[in-house]
Amino acid sequence: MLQEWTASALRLHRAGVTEPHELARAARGGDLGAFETLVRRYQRRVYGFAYQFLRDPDEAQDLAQEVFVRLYRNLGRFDVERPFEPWFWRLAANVAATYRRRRPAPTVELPLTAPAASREDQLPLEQALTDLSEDLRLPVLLHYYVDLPLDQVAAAMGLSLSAVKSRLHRARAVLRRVLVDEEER
Amino acid sequence: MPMGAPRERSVLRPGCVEARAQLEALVDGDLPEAQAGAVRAHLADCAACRAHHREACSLPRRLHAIPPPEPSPDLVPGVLARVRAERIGPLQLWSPLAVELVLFTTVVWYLSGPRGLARLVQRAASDMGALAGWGVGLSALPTVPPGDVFLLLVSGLLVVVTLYHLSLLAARLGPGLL
Repeated sequence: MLQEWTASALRLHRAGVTEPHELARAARGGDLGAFETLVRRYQRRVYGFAYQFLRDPDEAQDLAQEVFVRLYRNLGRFDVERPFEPWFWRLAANVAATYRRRRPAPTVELPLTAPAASREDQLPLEQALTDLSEDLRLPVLLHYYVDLPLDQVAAAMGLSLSAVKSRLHRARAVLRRVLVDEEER
Repeated sequence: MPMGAPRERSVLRPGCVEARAQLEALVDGDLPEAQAGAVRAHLADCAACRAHHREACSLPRRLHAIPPPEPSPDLVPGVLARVRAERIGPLQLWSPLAVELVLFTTVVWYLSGPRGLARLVQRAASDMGALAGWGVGLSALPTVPPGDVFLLLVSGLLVVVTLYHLSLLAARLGPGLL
């Protein structure tokens, strides 16, 4: 079955169906090859977003899967006349927020021997990003990490443009202070 | 805070707090010119705030440059396996149609066209009248012909199968269908 889908994805590529909204339209019509192409195209960004949001590889994998499964379930709601990315990232942001609410960060005892990805191994910026509150981290990730324009971040988060700018300024101020402190150490 | 306390903190001078609070807006060009000029004047005179300004300027680029981690090779197969498990195939989607046709044919055959339908209405009216009579104590509880019970069961089954089929179609073709 998986091989069959890959062949279908290749067929779409040869037919010139490569734009995300075209793939979403085809996937909405039941073309699993188109859906697979969409997943492959966005897997890196979605996983990166999930990882920066949760800072746990296993949880990030789980969240990324959940985003794509929810994409599949909601394809019927996608308006093919509109661009795919704002709609998709709004969905991803909602799934991430819901995921975090349902699975709050566990309080774990740190082992005596630190694992490979311990806090000390993180770069200062990534570590500071991890410490941001969720309402500040989400716009930072969507704008600077996923590369969404500000208006799309606002649409994805259901906020006004000025509210998104305000959150980004606050988030960057927090990060900046941490980085300056780090340099002065 | 994850970071330890700095060994040597720069001393805040008058205007530092106000200037630092506006650095991000200054970098993004969101400050009105008068305020931007005041912040720039402070920066020209304050080395500590210039360090903050340097960080503020470099931060967007550094955030963009955070390397994305490599997703596990299991991600795509995992998603496809979950979707495949949820997917409604053509056989599952259209097989209720055969059952619906059989049930519908049975109902039509039973009613046998307009005469059958008229007979059914007549019988139903008669049953209702008898039930009403039983309700006010004028007559005994009427007996329902077995054929009517059969028709009722088949019709109920047809409704259930049709609702199930519609739910499959809605899930497969999206909410715009219904």
